[in-house]
Amino acid sequence: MESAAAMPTESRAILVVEDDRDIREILVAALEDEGFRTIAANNGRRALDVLGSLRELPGLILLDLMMEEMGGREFLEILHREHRHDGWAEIPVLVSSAAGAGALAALPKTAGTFRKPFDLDELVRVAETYCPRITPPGVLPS
Amino acid sequence: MTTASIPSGATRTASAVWNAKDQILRRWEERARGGTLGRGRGRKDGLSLAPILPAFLDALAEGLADEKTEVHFPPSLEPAVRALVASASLADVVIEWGILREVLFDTLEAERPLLSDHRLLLHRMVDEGIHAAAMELSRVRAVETAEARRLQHAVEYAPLLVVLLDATGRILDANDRALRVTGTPRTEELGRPFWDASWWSAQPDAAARAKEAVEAAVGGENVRYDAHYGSPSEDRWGDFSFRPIVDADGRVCTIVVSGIDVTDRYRLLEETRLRASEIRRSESLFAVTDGEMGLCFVNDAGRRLLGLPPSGPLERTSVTSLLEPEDAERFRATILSMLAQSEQWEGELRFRHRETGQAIDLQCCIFRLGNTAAHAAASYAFVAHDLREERRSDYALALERRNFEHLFQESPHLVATLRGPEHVFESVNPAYVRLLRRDARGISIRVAQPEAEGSGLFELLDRVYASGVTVRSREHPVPVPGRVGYFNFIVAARRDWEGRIDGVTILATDITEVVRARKSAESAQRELRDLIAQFPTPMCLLQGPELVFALANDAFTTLWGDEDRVILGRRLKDALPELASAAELELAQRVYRTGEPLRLLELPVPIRRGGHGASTHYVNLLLHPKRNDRGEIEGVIAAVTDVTEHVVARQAAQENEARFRLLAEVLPQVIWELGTNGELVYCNAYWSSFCGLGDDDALKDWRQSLDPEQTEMVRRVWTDATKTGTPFEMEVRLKRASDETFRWFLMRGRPVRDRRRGAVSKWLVAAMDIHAQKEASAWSDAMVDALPNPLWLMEPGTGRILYKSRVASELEAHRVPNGVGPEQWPTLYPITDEDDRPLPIEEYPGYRAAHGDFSPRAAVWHAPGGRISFLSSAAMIPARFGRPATVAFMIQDVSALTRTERALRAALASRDQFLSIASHELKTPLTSLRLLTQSAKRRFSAGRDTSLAPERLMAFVEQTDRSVHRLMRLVDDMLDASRIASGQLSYHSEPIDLGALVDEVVERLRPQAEGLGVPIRVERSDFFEGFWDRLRIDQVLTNLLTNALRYGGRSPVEIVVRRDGNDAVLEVADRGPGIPLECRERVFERFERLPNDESVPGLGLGLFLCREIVGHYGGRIAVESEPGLGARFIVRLPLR
Repeated sequence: MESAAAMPTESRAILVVEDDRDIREILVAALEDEGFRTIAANNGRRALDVLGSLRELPGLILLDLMMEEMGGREFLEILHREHRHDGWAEIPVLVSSAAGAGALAALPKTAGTFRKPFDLDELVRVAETYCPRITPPGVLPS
Repeated sequence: MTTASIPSGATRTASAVWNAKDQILRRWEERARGGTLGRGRGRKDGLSLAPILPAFLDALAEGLADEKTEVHFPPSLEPAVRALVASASLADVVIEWGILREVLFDTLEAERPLLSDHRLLLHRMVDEGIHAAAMELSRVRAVETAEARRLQHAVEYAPLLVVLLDATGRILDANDRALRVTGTPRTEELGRPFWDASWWSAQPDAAARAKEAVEAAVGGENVRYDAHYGSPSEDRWGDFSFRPIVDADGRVCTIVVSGIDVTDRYRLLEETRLRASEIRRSESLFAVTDGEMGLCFVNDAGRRLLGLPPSGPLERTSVTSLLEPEDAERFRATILSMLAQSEQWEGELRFRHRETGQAIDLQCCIFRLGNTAAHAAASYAFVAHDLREERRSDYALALERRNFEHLFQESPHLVATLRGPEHVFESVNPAYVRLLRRDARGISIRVAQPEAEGSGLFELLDRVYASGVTVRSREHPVPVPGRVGYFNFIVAARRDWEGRIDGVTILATDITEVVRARKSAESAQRELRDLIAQFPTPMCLLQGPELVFALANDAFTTLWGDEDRVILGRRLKDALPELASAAELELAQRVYRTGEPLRLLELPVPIRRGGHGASTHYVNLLLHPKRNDRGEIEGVIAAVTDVTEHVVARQAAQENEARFRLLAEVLPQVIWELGTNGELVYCNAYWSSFCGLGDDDALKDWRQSLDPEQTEMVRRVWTDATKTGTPFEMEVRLKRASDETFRWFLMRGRPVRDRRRGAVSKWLVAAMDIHAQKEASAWSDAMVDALPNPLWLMEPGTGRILYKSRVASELEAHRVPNGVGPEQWPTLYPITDEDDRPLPIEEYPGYRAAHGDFSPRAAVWHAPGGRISFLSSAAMIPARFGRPATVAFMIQDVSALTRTERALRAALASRDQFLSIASHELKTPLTSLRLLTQSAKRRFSAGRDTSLAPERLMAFVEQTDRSVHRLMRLVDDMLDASRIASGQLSYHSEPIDLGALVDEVVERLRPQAEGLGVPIRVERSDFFEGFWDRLRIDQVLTNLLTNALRYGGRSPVEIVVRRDGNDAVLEVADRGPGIPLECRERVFERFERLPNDESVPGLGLGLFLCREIVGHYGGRIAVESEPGLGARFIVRLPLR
């Protein structure tokens, strides 16, 4: 993990966890447009599977709260309860929700929260602090 | 030659001798022969006595028959005897005589015993013969010594004692029989003087008598006498004969002593004498008559019984002359002839006392004596005893026993015999058993009566048992079962037949009651004396005609005041001179004279006290004669009660009464006095005029003036009041005579009690005209009842409910009476807050109002008719117009308002929820749109590569379109929900093939289902058509199918379309987790989603819409679900 952080040329991916297919696809497309590497999962359970399959952990997780099968809240709890020692719990998480501010309160430690519909500029700015871009914006990955 | 005395009455024996003569002779011969042969003497010739015996027996019988007292031995026998001596052995003769005697008695007694007299006679007769033979024998022996040997033999075998003496009286020889008497050896006896011989030893005189006899015989005399002889152990009598034998020179050379044992004869003689004496002394009658029933002999008792002279000749008094005439006749006619035949008669005869003429019943036994020939010279013996005596003594004995038994059994006294030193109950009478409560027989008194331990009773018994002295103990206290009793005891020793004490007898009388009564009487008398002395009523006893004060109690002397005045022992007129002139003295004297008690009430008497001069007192005076034990009047008892105060008070009361009447007459109210039955005793002028009575009219029963409707109520109030004797109050309507109208009166009654007895004697009733108030009050009550809201009037401070309006009463279902206080409210008025929590009584709005808190309050009353939410209001109504201050308490039923408010609140909450859900749902497509636009904007604004690949552009457009479409659908849904709420959902019905529509929807959703990996199976019948709105039914199908895909846990979904009668039935089923029971109805509500389902987006309107649409076409939608086995939604739509 530390060795990964010590390699500035290698930007780490953003894990997008979102059940709404449109939002997920648009988000992935937009972030990749901006030069980020992305991995997508359509609920918490799938996200955990994805994390387990990666060689390199993502630099940021974009997490929706309301999802079928496993919602964002449950995902976070598992992360903090079961993955303290393998570094998963250390991954910064941005939580997004269409619900009111109340739904976002009292969550386990996160990097920040976004309320839907979120501002892409802001999202890009925050993502950059965690995951430096590997390609300039506008260059779509091959 | 020889004589024998023959007693009279021997004839029967004589005849017996005659009759048995041949038999005697035959037996004698047999035995004499046998006897001699037995001795082996070998006699060949005939028996010696044979020739003379028949003659001897004849002579014997003749003598007996002639009843001669002295019979000469027949002279005809003498030659025969001489011949016998000459020719025969004299020894044989003696033996044969002996045998004769035995045979004679045996034969005669074979049939019946001989009379003792006859036995005696026969003995003597035979013994004479033997003696005679012996004498002949001795004479022959002296002269014919040749006969010595045979003589010796005869002597040895004769039933005689034979002793030979020499001329000096010494014993020469004695036969064995003589020696056997004492058992002395022959050698010792021989040579002794006869008088020293051993057989005189029994009687001292006998030796001297023998010596005299020997001396006389030596002198040549024949001597004969009866003498005692024998051994010391056996005293016998002998008939001794001394015969001197003279030798050739004429000198006495030998003396022959022969003795016949006559002991038997003597005994017989003695017995006869004894009998004769018994007969003389006997209490029974013995008499002997001659053949003509002339009395020859009557014993002393007989003479007494029959009234004959105690001694002296009987002058041949006839038996029949002594009998009662009737029995005399019977005696002559029958009894005599019976006697002639049977020799004996037994029966009862009634004699008459010679002197007194009294009848005497005798039990008689009459024997015929004498010859068998009837009416021959027979005589009769009477043995009789007094039946009266016997009967009397038998009866007396039986009576005595019965009386004793009765006494023992029935006696109230305790009777018992105790045996031995342990005092064991032997017999105990029922009274004693009752006392002991057990049958104590066989038990020691110490065990049977353990309570008596320590009372001294046992010691008393011990003392009597030891000393034999009878002891009496009076009022002896002894504990007995259950109490302590007092007893008088008589304890005596009982002795056995030898006179030894073997027990004691107890006779005890239970005098407990007596002792108690006496003690209580003593104490009662003492108490009575004390009582009179201390009695508060003045009492005195005047004694004698002069009426002297014998006794006066303290109260009496106090009444007649002066302490120094002495009245005891003085006459009434002296001691109390102020009374002397008064009538009292005369009255007291009259009581003394007549004995009639006198009672005088409220008698005015002058009483002088403390020297203040006489004042008039009123007294009740009771004069009662005092009689002594004999019932004679010896004085007068006077009891005085001073009733002055009472009399004075009554006089005052009478004045009060008059004053009351006057007042009553002027009062402007009805005033009555009623008797205990309610009858009008008095009424004042007001009432007289009210009910139209003239001055002379009789009082009318007030109850006739009552309003008939109130009669029952008034009767009840009156009955209650008279039953309890308590005041009453009621409002009644009384008819006014002047205009025949009823007017309201407030009527109050109070009982008036008899001062002495405390019983109600009459009632005072006052009635006030309250008609005006009543009218006003009725108006206000009517107004209150007219109020639409319930109203209660309460007593301030207590909260007691005084009145309630009609509406209030109806809400209470008329269950609560007036007058109930707060203590009963919790049960009668259940009040809670809005959440149905019971309020404490202090928080009851009514309670608060009663205590001055009039602020409006909200609460819930669970009234009989249902739950009432109310808002209270209260106010104080001040006392006015005779009515007390009251708290008016009113409630406003706000249940409807509350319900509306609740519905509104629910609607608001629902709307908020809807908005929250709606905004969330809206944000999703909006987020997509915003991301799309911002992404595009960033691309263009940053001067980056703006070219866009066609597929990217296409994706961009599709995503935009989808989001917009999604927004539109949400808006439609919201509009639908809103329209449903306002009832404005529109329907455009047209013929539809439901199956085709199902296929269409399934096709549309198939991609989504495949994306989830859920297979959909459709089962439908060919064709049927309904008339519905296509879009709406599409909505229903879409919603159900979407739900199945969404909530079915990716289980296969099955759709069935079928026709059931006039209904089309659509079923959509999954095999997912199912729907919990409590949610099955709620899922059809607006904005309802399954719990914990924030992860699934949606407005929660789907099933709500379905129900609305199906309902619009008159159909139904329902869900069946087994948890874990999936859910099945069933839609039933009428085809028409």
